[in-house]
Amino acid sequence: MGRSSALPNGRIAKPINQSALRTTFYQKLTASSIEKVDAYWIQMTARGLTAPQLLSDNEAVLMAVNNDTDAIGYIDRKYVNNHVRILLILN
Amino acid sequence: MTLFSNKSLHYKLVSYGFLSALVFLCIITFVSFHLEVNNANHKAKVMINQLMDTVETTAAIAVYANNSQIANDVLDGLLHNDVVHKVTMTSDGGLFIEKMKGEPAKNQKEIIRELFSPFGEKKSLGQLSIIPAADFNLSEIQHAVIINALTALIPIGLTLLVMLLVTHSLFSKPLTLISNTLRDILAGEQERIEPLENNKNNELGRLIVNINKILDLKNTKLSTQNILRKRVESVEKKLRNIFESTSAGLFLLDKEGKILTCTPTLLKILGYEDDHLIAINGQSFATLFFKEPMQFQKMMQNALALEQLEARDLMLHNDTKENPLWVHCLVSKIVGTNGIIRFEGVIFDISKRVAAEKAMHYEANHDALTGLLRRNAAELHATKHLASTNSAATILMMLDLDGFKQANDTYGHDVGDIVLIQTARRLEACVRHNDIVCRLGGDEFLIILFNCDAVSTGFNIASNIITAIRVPITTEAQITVNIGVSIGIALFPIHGTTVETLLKSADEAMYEVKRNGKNGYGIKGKNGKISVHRTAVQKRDQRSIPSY
Repeated sequence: MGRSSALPNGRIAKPINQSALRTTFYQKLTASSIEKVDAYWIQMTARGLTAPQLLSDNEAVLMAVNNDTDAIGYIDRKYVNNHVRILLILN
Repeated sequence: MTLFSNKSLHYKLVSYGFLSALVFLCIITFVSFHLEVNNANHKAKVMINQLMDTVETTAAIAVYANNSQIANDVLDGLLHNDVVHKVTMTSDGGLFIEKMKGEPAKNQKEIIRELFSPFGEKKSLGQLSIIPAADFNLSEIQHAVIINALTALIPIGLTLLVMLLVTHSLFSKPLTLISNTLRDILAGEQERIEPLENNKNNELGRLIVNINKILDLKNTKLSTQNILRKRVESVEKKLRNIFESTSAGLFLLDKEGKILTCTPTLLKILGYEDDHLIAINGQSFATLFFKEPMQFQKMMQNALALEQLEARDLMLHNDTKENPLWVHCLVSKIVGTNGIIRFEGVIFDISKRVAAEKAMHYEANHDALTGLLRRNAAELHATKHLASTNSAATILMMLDLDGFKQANDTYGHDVGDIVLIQTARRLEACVRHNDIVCRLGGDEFLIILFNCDAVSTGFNIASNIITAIRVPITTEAQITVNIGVSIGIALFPIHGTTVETLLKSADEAMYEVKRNGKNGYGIKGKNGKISVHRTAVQKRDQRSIPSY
C-alpha cells in the first residue's frame, strides 16, 4: 500500500496491480472501497510516488512475478504454481 | 485638579459624572476584555478543531504512508490560517515535522488530534497538534473592546452634555440669580427675592420663600434692635452727662492704685485740665495728687483688708498755706465678676470748708483785734504743756496796762484799739519765738515762757517788755499816748502746779506792782511776800528782788 517499499531481503519491491481482481483484492485487504484506495493512490502519485504497474489478468501477473524476483502481485488462488512464493492468502 | 477649580456647581457635577463614567467604563472594559479573551480562546479552539476536521484525512494518509511531503503540504496549509501559530505532525513511523509562524504564544493550549489509518484500522498512527495564535485572539479582542468602549462613551458624553445644560438652567442659573439678589439686598430693606417663574413649587421655590421669611424676621429684629440701641444710647448719654457734670470726682483704680478711669470733674478738683485725662491713666493715684501719698495708700490697704468704705480728708499735692487744697476722699474695694479687685472712690473738694473751718478755729482761738490767742486757747496750751515731760522752768506773766483806761477815755476807742494792737506787737517782739502771748481781755495780757532754765531769762524779758511798752505810741492823727505796764510773775512749779494756781499767784503779784507805783514786775517770795521790781527809768525800788 506504499507504506513500505522494501522486501525482507532488502531489495526494492516492484508491486503489480491486476485490473480483474483489483476491487476484490483491496476490498479484502483494507476493507475499504476501491474509490478510497484510488483517492489514496492519487494523493501518493501526485507527490511523485510510482503507482503499482497494472496488468490485465491472473496469467499476466503470474508471468511478471515469475520473470522478476523483485515483483510482488496478487492472483486468484487457482493460478498459483511452484515458481512463485505465497506471502499472504486472503479469503 | 484644574477641572474642579471652576466653582460652578453644574461643571463640578458633570466633571464628577464624567470621571465616574470613565472609571466604570474602565472596569467594564477590563471585565469584558477578559470575557472576550475566554470567548476568543473558545472560538479559536472550535476553529482549530474544524481545521483539523478538514485536513484529517490527508494528515492520516501522510502519517499512514510516512510521507513527509504530504505532511508538509498539510502543515503549510494549516499555517495559512490566522488562528494557527504552530503545527506539529508526528507518526509512529518516525515522521516528525514542526512548523510555526509569528510571535510565540503564551498561555495557549496545544490542541492534539490522534491520526488513524485511512483504511479503517482503529489504531493511532500519529498525532497532529496545533497551538493557536495569541495575537490573532488579542487583536480581535482589542478591536472588539475598543469598539465597545467607544460606543459606550458616546452616549455617556452626550448624556453628560445634556445634564450640564439641564443643571445649568435648572439649578445654577436660578441659584446665581437668588444669590445675586440676596447680595444686593441691604440689611433692613423691604426688598424681597422675586419667585422664579418655573420653580414656584419645587425646592428652589421653597428656598426663596424661606429666604424671604428669614429676611422678614431679620428686618423685624433689626428694627427692634434699632429701637433698643436708641434707648441704650439715650441712657448712655444721660449717664455720661451725669458722669461728666457731677460735682463729685469719681475714679477707678486697679489693685496697685493705678488710675483706670476718672471723671473730668476729678481732674478739675485736683487742678488738672481735661486734656490730661489720657496721660494720667496708669499712673499712681496716691503719688500723683496727694501731699502725703502714704495716707491714701493706707486707706487702700484698709479698704482691702476691712472691706469697708474708707473716708478721710486729704491734703493735695499743690496745697499752700495761702491756698489750702483739701479733698474728702471715699475709697472702697470692688470685686468684678471675673474676680479682679479694683478700687472705686469719690473725691469732694472741701478746700473752702477747710478754709472756713480754719478761719473759724482761728477766730475762736484768737482775739479779733490784736490777733493774739484768747484766754481759753492760751490756758489750753499751758495746761497741755504743764502735763508734758518738759514742763519744768515754765514762767507765767500776768500783764495789765497802766494808763490805758485814761487814754481810752480821752482819745476814744479807736485810739485805744491802736494802743492795744501796738502793745500786742511789742509784746510779741519781746518774747522768744515759741513763747505764747495772749490777750485775756481789756488791757490784760498773759505771757507764757517755756523752757526758761534760768529765772533771770524771765526777769530780762519782763524788763524788756516794760521798756518797750513805755515807748510812746503815736497814732496817724498825731496823737501821742504814753502807757506803762505792771507784770506779775509766777514760776512753775514753785507758785503752783496748775494753770489756775499759777495765774492766781501771778495776778496777786501784778496787783502788788500796781499798788507799788506800776511800771514794774513783781513775784511772790518764799515767805509769801511779794517783791516788786521797778524799771530803771524811774527811781529804783529799794526792795530787793528775791532769788530762786
